[in-house]
Amino acid sequence: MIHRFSLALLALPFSLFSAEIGSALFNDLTENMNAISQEAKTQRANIDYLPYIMTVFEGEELAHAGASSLKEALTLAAGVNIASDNLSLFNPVFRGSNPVAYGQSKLIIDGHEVNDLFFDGYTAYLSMPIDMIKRIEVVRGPGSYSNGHWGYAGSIVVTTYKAEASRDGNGRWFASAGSDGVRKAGGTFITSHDDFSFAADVYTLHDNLSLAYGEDGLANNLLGASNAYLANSGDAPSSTDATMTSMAITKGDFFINGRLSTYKHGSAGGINYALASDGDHYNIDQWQLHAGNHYHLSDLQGTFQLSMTQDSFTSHQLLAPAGLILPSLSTPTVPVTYSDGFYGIHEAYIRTYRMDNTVKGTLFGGETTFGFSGSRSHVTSEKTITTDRDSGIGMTDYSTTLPFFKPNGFISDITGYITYEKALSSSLVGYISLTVDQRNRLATQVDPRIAAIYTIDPGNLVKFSISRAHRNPSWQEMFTLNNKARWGNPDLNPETVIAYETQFIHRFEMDHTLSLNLFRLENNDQIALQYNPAFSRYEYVNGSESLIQGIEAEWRKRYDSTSFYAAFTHLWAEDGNDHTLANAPSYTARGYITHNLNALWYTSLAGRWQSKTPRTATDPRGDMKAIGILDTSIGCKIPSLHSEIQVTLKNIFDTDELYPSPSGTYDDDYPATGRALLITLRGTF
Amino acid sequence: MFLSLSAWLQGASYDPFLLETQLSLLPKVAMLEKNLGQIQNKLPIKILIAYDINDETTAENCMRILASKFNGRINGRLLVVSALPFEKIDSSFAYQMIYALKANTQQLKKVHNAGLSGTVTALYDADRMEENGILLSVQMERTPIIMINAKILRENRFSFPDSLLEIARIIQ
Repeated sequence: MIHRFSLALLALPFSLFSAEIGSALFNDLTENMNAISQEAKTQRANIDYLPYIMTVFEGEELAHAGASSLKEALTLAAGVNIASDNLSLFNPVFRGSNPVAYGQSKLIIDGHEVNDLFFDGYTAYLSMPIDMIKRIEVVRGPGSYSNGHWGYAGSIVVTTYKAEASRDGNGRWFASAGSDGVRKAGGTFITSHDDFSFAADVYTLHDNLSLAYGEDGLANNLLGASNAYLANSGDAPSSTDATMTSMAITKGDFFINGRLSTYKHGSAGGINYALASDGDHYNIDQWQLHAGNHYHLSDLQGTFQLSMTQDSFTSHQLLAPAGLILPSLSTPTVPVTYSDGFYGIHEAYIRTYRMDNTVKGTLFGGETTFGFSGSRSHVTSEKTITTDRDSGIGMTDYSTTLPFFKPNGFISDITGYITYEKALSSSLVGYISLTVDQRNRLATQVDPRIAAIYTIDPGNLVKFSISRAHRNPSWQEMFTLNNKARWGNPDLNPETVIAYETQFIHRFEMDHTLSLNLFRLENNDQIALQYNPAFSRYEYVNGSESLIQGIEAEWRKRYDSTSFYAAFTHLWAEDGNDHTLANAPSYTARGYITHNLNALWYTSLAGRWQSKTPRTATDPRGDMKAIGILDTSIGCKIPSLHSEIQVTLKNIFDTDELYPSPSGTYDDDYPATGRALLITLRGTF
Repeated sequence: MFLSLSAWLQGASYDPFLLETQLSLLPKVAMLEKNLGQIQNKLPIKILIAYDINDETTAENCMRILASKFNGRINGRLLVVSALPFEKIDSSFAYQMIYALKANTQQLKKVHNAGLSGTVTALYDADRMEENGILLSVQMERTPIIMINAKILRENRFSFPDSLLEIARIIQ
């Protein structure tokens, strides 16, 4: 096949050609093509031609592949590993980059970043059922393409069924039940009339999971050698109760939308590395409200938006077992015995007010976006109530004397950005962007990005990019106080990365592609906990740097009845001392096959494997062993009811999956769910 | 980007964005063909969606898309859309355009033959338009790319304005 390249690849607006023709129909056609080009970007219909290394998954395909939540879906994506901690908070780690920093990746749902302010993570949303999700875009590397959300190691962009109407109907519903008392249910509804639209979704989920932990951190003298004998092991509460609801209303150019998320989880390995007891739990709740208006300035289109967000973290937990002996708070020479153990109630409510303004349009023959945002976050309520630290019995309010974080802490952010994209020839598209960000009194961060996409021929293209990005320290990293397991530092520098990336994409035919991606990430000022012997406590410091280089391959092939996805990542990663980077397996592979057996039945097989996981150089424990997990599912469609039933078996061989624990805490690594069965009913209406 | 439009029924898989894009653009491209778009010609424009029997739901969806995009008229002329399985295509039917969903070579031969008598032919799967002698398709790259089969253009004496040929990708 010989092709002649079309001028359509040029960025020149198609309407320029129409002027020559004077044909209303041709004019209409070219306007239509311009509109489709913009919509293709919005709906990620042309991701190969966007200046990012990214993968797009359809929720429906992931559901058929056996993924039941956002977290499970991400385990199938190239370059993403899930890390966890003592509280069973989860953190998607992109290409091995700092697994203890929650905010290294951003989660954006229906256009709004949902990372909580306290941890800068998004554990609550990782439990979002896959049946709520229309599309997941995984952007690897810095510089998310969602304006104003600047991912450091990567970004996850979720579009729910609520956000994009489907021709299948106005609504969707699902209900699931399975092992460990899993119960889930939810639905989505959309309606519109003229320029008015209303959309809402809701889900609730519950499980009564309990996980078996090894001897806790007391055995490593975290609460003093005299208390080491109190170390516990065994089952710890790891149950989840979560509810999320959101709605969106638009009327012409005006829009208002909001989201409420509640997430309650068992305290698992304990805040201070002391095994949690029955009833111990924490909550990470969030609500968001956004309202704004789209406007036009000549040929430019703008959006002005005001937002209010409340993040909260509350914990109710027995922080140390009965028999604990610690020095008295008021008279340190006097030992206090906690006959019923040391109990703690900690609550933090943080409110954020934010303003965003974005203007985009065609300037100098290219597509330009300007953005400006300002936000301020402050504490609205804080509680630190623990067992009395002089008598060892009863509860005392230490909210003002020994708060668990700085009560007058605040975060003030001002960000501006500009992006410019232009087709330089029929085969070359250039992209530049610049972000300037200032948080509190920290050094102003200036992040440039340059990228290019070169189309060799219609079946082959290459992308290049060089980016700088930063991650601001989280609330926890800056303001935590009076906690020997983690002590904040308001003077932390932002983490920074300089990333060099290239990707080659070969398109064999429609729905059949292979991509190869090379990357080099130079990370500096990585934030981590470091033990300070002078104060006998772990403190957040800009303690390390790392160099991560790697290659990723992704292959995708879709036949009419069978769909394949396979990904492989190889990392060469080292820390600032030329040691192999901890917690980053050198090789990972994952993939899935879905197959329609006939008109009604379908089945799938999904798997993921990673090589042994290295630990820090000072950790006496050996590497974590390599692990492979296989899932399978079978489903049957019920056309008359516009519904289907699916049975999924996760972790077929009940393989022991573990998350690495830091040295000096739990000697055994943190456990994860074993084999699990899930039955799901889903449909549309 | 991939999604089975016939979510609750068996059938080939279609990219819904590409399908909508093609159904938005291809009728307009067809109308730019010199003979078809003649202003004095006031006859209705008849478009046929040709489909494999398993893709009936997708074909119905295509009709809905065309109805919502054009509201029964294109360039001032009445637009009549119908759908038929490939097996029922008869060369005696007079269509101005046939849009073929996924098909095997034998099925596409019927579409190709219809093109010999002046019908503008278009195909969902752009990769197969050359080997099966179909005139038009649209591929989604950074922008939508209109694909024109030069051989069929010459053989069937179709004529499009130069401006369209300038922005289209010509397959030699």
